Amino acid sequence: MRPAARADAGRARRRWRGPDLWDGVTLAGFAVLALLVLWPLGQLFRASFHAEFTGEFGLSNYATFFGSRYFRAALWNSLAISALSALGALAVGLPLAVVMARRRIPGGGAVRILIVLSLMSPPFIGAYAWIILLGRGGVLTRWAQAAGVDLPSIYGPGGIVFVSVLQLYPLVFLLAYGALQRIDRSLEEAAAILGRRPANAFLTTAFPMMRPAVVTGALLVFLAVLSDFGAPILLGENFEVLATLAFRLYLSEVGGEPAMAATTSVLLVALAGAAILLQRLLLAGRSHAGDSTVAPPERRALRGAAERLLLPAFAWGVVLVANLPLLVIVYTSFLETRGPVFGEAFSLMSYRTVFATVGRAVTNSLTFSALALALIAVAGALLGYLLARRDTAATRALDALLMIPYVIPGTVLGIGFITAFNAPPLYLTGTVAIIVVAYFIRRLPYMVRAAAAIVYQVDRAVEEASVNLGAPPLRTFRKIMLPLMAPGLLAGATLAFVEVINELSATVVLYTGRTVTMPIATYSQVIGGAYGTAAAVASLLVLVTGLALAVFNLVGGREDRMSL
Amino acid sequence: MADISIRGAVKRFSGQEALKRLDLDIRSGEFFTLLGPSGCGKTTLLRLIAGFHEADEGRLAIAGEDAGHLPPWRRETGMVFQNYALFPHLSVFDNVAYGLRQRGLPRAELAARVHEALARVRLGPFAARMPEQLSGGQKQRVALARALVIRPRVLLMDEPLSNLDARLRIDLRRDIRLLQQELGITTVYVTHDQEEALAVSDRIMVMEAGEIRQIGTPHAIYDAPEHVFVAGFIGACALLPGRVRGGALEIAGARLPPPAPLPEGAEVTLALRPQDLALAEGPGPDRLAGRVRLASFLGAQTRLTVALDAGGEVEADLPRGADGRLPARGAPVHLAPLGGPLFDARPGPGQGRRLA
Repeated sequence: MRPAARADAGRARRRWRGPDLWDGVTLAGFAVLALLVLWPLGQLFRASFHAEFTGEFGLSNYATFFGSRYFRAALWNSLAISALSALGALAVGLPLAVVMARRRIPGGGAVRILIVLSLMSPPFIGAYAWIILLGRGGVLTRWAQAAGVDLPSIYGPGGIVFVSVLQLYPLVFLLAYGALQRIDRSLEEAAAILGRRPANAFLTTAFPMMRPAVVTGALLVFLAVLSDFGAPILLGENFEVLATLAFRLYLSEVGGEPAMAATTSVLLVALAGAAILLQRLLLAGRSHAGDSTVAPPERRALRGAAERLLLPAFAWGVVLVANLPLLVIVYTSFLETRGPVFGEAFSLMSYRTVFATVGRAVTNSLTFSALALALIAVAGALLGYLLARRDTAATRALDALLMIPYVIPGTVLGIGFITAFNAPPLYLTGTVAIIVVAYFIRRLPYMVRAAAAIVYQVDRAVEEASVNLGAPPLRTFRKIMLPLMAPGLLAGATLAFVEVINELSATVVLYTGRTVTMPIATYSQVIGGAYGTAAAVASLLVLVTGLALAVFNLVGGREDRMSL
Repeated sequence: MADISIRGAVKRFSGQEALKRLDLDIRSGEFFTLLGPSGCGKTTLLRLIAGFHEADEGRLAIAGEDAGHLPPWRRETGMVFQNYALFPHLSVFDNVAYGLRQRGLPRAELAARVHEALARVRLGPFAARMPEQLSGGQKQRVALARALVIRPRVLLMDEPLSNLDARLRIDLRRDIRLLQQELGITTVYVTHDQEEALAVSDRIMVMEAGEIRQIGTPHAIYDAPEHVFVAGFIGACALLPGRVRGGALEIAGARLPPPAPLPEGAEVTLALRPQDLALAEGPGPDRLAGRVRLASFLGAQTRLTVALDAGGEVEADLPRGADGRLPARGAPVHLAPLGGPLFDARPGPGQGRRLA
């Protein structure tokens, strides 16, 4: 060993401490974020300051926007449905979390699984399923009509909020439930000993500690609805929100108004950013109280007829209604159909139609998602490690940049991508690459966070031990850190896969006939009135999603990772 | 086996000097301990030798070869960490084999050397276990085997025992010392525990604030401290301020004969260990007067904590009396100093140095 060491000394003197792999990763991270986030956003921003037809620089687009009742309405509509959905999700998710955390509900385990399941089912599929149930000529609508009752319409803002709440209340539930589980029982006991009645003790001790979870949950729902494209486009009809407005302005059949689309996009991003700032302000100086080692209060058995009847009915009612769409989709996919009308007999005709007409969507979805996933996994592992282990001005800046994709709605990203990559040298419009790269950048931040969280848990000395035993940094990363990160990376990748394969709002801007995906096929079949085919594609999507989640559970998605 | 030579080593962290121009030589085969309170630079120095830090100035040579510019993976040192730092996804065998695999050893020789190393730390039967199935002491023995199996030029240990409970610490430090003597490997050992340092070391280097206060055998460090910091840090020791006046040492109201001629007016610190004080029958000009605050029975002797009338506190060990009676709390006592080292107390570059 020693002669070799001596021979290497001269070389090492120059190389060691010089630029290394991680400097390269930092640089590549900046390049990727600059190209895929800053450049498209900058293009949108720039376009929003150039008048639509004359190209004159100024605020004319914003003047047009705020001068038009139609545009203003979209802004207010967006805010209204996002806020109402957040409130609705709180109204459902909070009581459910309290009941599930503090009372023994029959079949409680199944209820918790169903809650997570409704979160994982593709968002726009919920909207579509409710059209089948409550739309014009919907199953429930016709039953009610036969009984002489007029059910409220699923179309319009009420329907969007209804579908969004059922889709997103699990976000509030999971955070609130997790917070309740981290509150030590002795706190409420102390309050009780001090003379508080149980309900009072809960409100004065546990409830304030849940505040961060409540604020964060509400914000997540607000952001999700603000950037949602699927539910408003399927249910909104004449009810325009910013996401659908930007889409229609950009891809209008009469040529489009790209400058106004850009202006709408900028406003949408600004709103999302403002919502995040608001959350930061509301939670400033507060950390999530408690830790995971405390003993949460025991679940009490149900007492009295009222509790015994109402609480299980509430819990089971919520999860069954929320999961009804999945059932409806799968059931109707096996029915004989003619256009939007379902027959009585079972048939595989919808699936035959799928493979005859939009079979490409299935292979496309799988291919694009797999490609995006590979990119996300590699980049996520490298960047996650970098951010966890190197604390420099550069890595902090990179960390901040990585926050941006969180607040870019899919539609905006899609429009930005087309605007930015529509000219050489990066002429990507209509390619597979533009879709894969959009998926990649949308999910990358989540993967980086997941990877960094694992790296934080590994003592630095473990890596130093490896280096000390003769393994240079890169080999140490491969032999020690990668195996340690693998289960978490795989779990994160599976969730990313689920998100990516269900992606609609960016894809709908970016796809062409060649690059149609399963969500796009479902969307266009619904729009075209082919409900059977739509149900079949959606069912395949549900199947793939379910398989991926099963893999997630197998590879180490332990109960606690889902915070249940 | 190899000696280590460090010349003029300076290490700065964001402008602050963590190591202030250190010169030291560690002999081949020696058990050399870096001792000091947290923040004194001992771990920084160890990591400098391992190559995890690069010195801002100065030279480092291992076995006579310049090593300061070698990356840590080429230094051929074996390091044992405070938190064990075992590879959690590898079995005990694979943990120990890791360094040998980096060196591309043939399979048969590799297995033989791993088993030999595990046998040395008495973990032969545990080769197939995973780290999480081991106790803290077993983990640290695996870490020791993993560091030794590569036959490093030096063994580096960073507070290896501080996460273990008291009993295990004593057992394991004995094992470490026996193994080190058996292999004759140059060992640099970092600890803040002075008792541990005294028990295992050939030589100890006491550090304070990035500077060397003394390098010496455990005996020399204990009996002949060269700096007031060393006297205060090692063992129980009272540090009493005093002044030379009229040819005598004035300390806590007593006038003592100076052990060596000292200039008039010199400000000094006298270090008194519990065994350097004897109980006197009555008052006298060369006695320290005070009252008993605490009397602790230690088996072989009784240790008195005495609050001096002139201010300050000393501890004194009394031989165990036949009647086993302890002085009462608050009882007046007179103590006769039997002599201890004197240190310069005048502010300046010489402050803390031994005078006599």
